[in-house]
Amino acid sequence: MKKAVSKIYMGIIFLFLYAPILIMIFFSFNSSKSKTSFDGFSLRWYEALFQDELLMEALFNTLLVAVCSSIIATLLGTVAALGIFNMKKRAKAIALNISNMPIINPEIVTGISLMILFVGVLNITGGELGFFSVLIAHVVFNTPYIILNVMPRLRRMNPNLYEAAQDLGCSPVSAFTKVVIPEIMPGILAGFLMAFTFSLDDFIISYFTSGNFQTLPIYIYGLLKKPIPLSINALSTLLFLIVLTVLIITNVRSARLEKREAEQKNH
Amino acid sequence: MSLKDVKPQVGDKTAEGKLVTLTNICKSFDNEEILKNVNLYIKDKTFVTLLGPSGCGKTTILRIIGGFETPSSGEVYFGDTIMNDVPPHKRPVNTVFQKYALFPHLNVFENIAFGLRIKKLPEAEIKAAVKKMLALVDLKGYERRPINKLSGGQQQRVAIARALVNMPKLLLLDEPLGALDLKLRKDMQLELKKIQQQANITFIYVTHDQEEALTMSDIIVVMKSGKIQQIGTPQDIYNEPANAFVADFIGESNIIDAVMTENKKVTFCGHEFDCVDDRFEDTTLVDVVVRPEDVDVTSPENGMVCGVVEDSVFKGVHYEMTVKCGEYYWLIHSTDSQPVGATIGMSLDPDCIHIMRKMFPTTETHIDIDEFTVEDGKVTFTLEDSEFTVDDASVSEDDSLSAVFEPFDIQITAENEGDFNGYLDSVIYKSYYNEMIVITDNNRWLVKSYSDEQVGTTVGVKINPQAIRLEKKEAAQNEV
Amino acid sequence: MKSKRGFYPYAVWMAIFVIVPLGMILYYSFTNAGGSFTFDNFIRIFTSKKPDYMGILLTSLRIALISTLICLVLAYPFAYIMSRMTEKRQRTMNLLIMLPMWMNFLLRIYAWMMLLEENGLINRLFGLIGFGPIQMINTEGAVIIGMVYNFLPFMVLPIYSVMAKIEQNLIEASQDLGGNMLQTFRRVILPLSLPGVITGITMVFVPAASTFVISQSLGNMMMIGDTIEMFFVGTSQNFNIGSALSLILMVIILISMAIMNHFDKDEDGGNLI
Repeated sequence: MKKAVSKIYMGIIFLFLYAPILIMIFFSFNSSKSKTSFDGFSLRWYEALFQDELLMEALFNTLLVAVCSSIIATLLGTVAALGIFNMKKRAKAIALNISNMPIINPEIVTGISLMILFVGVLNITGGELGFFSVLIAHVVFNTPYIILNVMPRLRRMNPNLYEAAQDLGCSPVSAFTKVVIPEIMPGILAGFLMAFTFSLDDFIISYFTSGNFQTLPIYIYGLLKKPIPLSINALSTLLFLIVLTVLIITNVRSARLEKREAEQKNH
Repeated sequence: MSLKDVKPQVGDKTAEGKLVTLTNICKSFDNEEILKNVNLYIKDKTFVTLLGPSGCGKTTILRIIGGFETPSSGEVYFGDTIMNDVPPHKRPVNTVFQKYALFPHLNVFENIAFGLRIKKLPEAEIKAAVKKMLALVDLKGYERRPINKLSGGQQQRVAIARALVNMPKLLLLDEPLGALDLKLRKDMQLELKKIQQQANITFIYVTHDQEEALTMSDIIVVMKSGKIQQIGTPQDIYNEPANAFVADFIGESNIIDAVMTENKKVTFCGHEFDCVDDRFEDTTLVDVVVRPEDVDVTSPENGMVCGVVEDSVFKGVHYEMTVKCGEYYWLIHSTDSQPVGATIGMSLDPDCIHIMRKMFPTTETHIDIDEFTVEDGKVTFTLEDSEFTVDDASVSEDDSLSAVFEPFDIQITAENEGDFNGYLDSVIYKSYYNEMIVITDNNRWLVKSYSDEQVGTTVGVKINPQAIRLEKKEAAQNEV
Repeated sequence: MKSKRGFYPYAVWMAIFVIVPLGMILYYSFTNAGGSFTFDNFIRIFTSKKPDYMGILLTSLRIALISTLICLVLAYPFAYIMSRMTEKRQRTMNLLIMLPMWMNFLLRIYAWMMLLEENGLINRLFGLIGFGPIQMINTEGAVIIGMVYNFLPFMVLPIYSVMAKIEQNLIEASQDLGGNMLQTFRRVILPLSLPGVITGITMVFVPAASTFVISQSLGNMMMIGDTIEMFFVGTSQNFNIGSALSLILMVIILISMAIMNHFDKDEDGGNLI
């Protein structure tokens, strides 16, 4: 009885979460312009999508910003995390608090604060908001995620490892690259992936710092100004499928990894 | 082990004073039998310990009494009332959990007061009761401490106080000292016993530590693989172990293969000793248990058997010596030091020799082979999903065969590394080798080995085909 | 390895791109277009009747609060049920909750625009049973639905992750001490899950209070985020008033977060009093 109630409850929540997406997917194959009645199967909205040069450009821009910003953030954040890790307790707390500001603040505040800065600088130097301002903005909000992922790994690392490597004849540099880096690598990778996806997905901060430079979310925002072209259904479907595949793959992999780790622990 | 041995035999045989009775309790998880027909009763105001290696089912028994598990079959009685389906919060028992399970969001006072607040007692009463408990467990003045600011020993005391304040008739303790260091454990053992006597209630205590069990208990229940092996006072269990497992598990002992052809005479290490037991009717092969402190060291000419001292370690009160006698290594505790290399004599009093039934009924593993093929004097058959080929020109297709496996020719390997996998059900050190019993789906295997393995695990079993002997059934029967 | 030098480049970076920009918001808030110090921006915000900034601010906070509460009510039982499942099922549930989150929120908003339209799917279904059409799009209700839809996973996940860490033996201990289901919930599960609830509330309330897309697209209304946006992007650019508004928003959010965190600490260390 209790079980049935919980099952029904979870079912309703999932229906609420998924019905809108499934309806979008369904109508993305509609041959007519109707959003309420299905008039036959067609791929015309997908064709329209691939012929849209602006969309392709926005897609390229999004990937470019995501790749560049997450690489820069990973380097900056990993080095910073190592530095912060060795700081005294108070200084550490202050550094982490400032570092987290861009993600604690409402996104809109981070967005406009960077916009004010960029516009101020560009007024002096000349030039326009664009790729570089977006890139910097993304590094600003991505780096804290790297630090948040690397710090726990550093904390969990046996502090004697680094010394043991040196004791066994490693120079400080090679002890660092051979022992410390591999030890915190999972954290770096997790941080990188997180930064990459947040960068792909970001709209608000990009919106204020992009000028005429279009990323995918900004392009979608442009479409929401009526009348909405129906190819947006097709776009949603494709993005949903991509996200689904990526999530399943990473999840299956991490499940396998965890299983292996658990097995090793048993032996 | 027959049910007769398992029947509760301690204390009154009447219903008087029986606080908890378990009858024919079985419990399975995911098709794995955790408890196999457990019968047990527990008398009021006793300190009962469930003792056994990890995975033997002792914690499951505790959880069944506490109401956190329901038995797959069998009944749980509190007095005369069946309790099987009564949820934990309606049972008049309280539990001290493994790792304490103290509420991290409540302080010491509120943790102890938890049960009383549930009962909605007036504040003044709660205060008085908690205060009394804090005094009992020696934690006066710690009322406002958060739980994470307590040491392990203090958390332990809070857990006991939290349970005792509800004045249960029965307190269940699940390895409560497991997380403490050795010194603290010893102190807490005595303290727990004291608390039990002061509170004048029944404790059921689960542990895998035999010394702990011997120190605190009125009654010890020894368990292995979901079955009760022996129930008795610490003295009974130590002095009269029911089988080699109990002897091996409780205290230190020499367990030796022996032969008994007539009553009150037993032969091992090449000597016929006098003993106080009669022989078993169906077999001459027995295990003998001799406690290390029961061996008298004599001059070589006065000893029943002689041996050479291989090793001697001072243990504070006595010397622990290893003495080689033939191929057997005897463990001896003696207050006299003997130099390593010296030849000594050893004597045994008849009542120091405990005769036990062997855990495995035969000296080798016999398995009937129903299907096999014969080709060029080679016999091929399948066992435990593995194929074995044995050279034996005398076998023909029409014979009815059984395969005999010499215990020393079966090797234990890591899981999945052998011919097949099995569950290592018991490992007993027999003075110079380990006697192991491996259980597979259809068979039990006797294995003898010089190496040690972890009991209760899944292991691989590797069989050298050269060591398999085939017996024709008729012939085998004729021999007997 | 033992040195903190690695922090220095990032320190410079943060100074330029975190601290200076926030300082500039502060600067613009207290200056006029000519760059001289003034309180005018704030005076205008607090007194103006058209646009009624205070009214907009209060509406935004109200809508955000309602959405947060609905999220909490929906998410709490969900997270609890989820945390008591087998590990394998928990993993699947986690995946199912995260999946919509990874789709850009603009697309999810669009899905609701399509559903709630005057001649959208929902009204058509109502029509089939001889009902409606009801005005749904461009109402406050639509904004709240959009927010709940968008932010529900942000409420479920933190509550779930705290609940999953509540050890089964604490629940058993409570039962052992005589607590029935309700008492166990009230005295053990609820207080122990509070940190997750607080994280969840912050994670929903902050973006809900400051959004500028959901309100426009589904409610055709101005919330505080839309007002700020208006002053930075588009024709009526005015960094000074925009900054002052952002500052007010930031302060309100910081204060409410501080209150929440204090609440959390109280529960956590209430025994220290």
